[in-house]
Amino acid sequence: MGNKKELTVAGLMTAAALVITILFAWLQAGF
Amino acid sequence: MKKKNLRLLVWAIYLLIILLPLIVMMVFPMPKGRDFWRDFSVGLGFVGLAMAGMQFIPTARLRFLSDIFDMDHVYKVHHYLSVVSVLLVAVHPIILLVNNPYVINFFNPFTAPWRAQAGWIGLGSLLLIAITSVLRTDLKLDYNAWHGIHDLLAAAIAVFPLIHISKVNYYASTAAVKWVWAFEVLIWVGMTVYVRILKPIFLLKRPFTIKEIIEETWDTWTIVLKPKGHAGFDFNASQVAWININSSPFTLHKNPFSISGSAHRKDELRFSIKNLGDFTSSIGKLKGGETVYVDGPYGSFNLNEPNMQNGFVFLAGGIGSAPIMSMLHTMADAKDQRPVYFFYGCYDEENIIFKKDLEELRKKLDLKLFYVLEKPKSPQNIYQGFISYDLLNEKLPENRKELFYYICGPLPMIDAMESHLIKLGIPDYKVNKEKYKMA
Repeated sequence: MGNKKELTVAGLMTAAALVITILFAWLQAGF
Repeated sequence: MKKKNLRLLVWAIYLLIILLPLIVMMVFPMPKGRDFWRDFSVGLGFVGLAMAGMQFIPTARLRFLSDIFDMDHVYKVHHYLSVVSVLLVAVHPIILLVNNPYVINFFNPFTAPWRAQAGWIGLGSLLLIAITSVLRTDLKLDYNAWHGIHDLLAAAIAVFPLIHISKVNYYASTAAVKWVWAFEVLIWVGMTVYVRILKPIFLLKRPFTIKEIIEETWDTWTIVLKPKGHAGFDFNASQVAWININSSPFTLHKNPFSISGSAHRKDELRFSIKNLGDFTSSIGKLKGGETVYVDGPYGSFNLNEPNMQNGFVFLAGGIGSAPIMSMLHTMADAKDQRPVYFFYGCYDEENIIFKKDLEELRKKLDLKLFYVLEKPKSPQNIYQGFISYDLLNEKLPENRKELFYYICGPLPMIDAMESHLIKLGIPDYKVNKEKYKMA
């Protein structure tokens, strides 16, 4: 059982943060 | 709304607040972008800072959160996201440097301009918080000293990165970015005011006094509190509260303990506390009559969940039996006849806490009690060693998968019980774990 649930939540949050950051930089760069 | 949906909603709001500065920057007109990597690094800094700021919420002990979440899970996610926020912020100057080697001039904190120095102070504080939190026990930092350091560093994290953002004054030159950071700061300040001022004022108005101190064993006491000038509060069996004895609720000296008494006795609150050498060593010296402030109750566990209707298996080690006593007393007061199997691991006969109470409860409940002693003085009628798979397999009934399992004890014991339960085929949703020490 371990810490899988918590790691998943933290992983999803981090992934969402990275996606939005890339999107922001991509939009600013005018791609 | 169902608990699961509420949890999703809370995580969604949390994510929205973290991402809000970037969302605002995508929606509102912004100064022209520089290049992808530079803006990517700025974005990471923003999202990392918003994430670091929101780390305060899980530790603020908000009732609505503890009602829907297992707080141990929340603390673990909080620890992971704290590390993530540090990494995001730390990567910000590294990407800037790789992208433009000229940035090396800003890496000397003594000669760098103030806008960069403020950023370094913020990053340094964030790193120090992470290091002192992860290595607290290795560094032999007292919990309350660490708490004080944590608060000071948190204040530095709230102030210096914002000075950095405003002095760089690129995206922060726009009203939308100014407003969004003002909103983020409002949340941080609001939480601080709530935790440090409003909640202690509320606790001050709800004092308790120590009515009785019961010596359970040579190193464990139960303190019985009675409400002073108020009616007490409702709680569920096995919930937790933070208490401070003979000190102001404004101090940081609060310690979490499980309630060990019946949820049907609103006129008294019981906490059973074992001497672990810290604050707990002073419990035996209390005389009675002391004022106690109780911040609680917290905890989402409820004896009456639909998946608990066929009975319980309690697995406890040492003082891990305290929340179980709360459940047993609550069930006895409610004349609840659901079957209970209680496997109780202790060192020897002298260390069995609540023995007298348990024998009384055996008469009132459908309770099957198994003492498992590591070093029994007289091995007759006692199980020797640790709570093992074989013992559980032998004593648990055929319908074992329909029972609800509650484990409370030190971490190695919880790990051992988890693997026994997996081997017995008990589904995960039928198991609740309470670690003896908070994560």
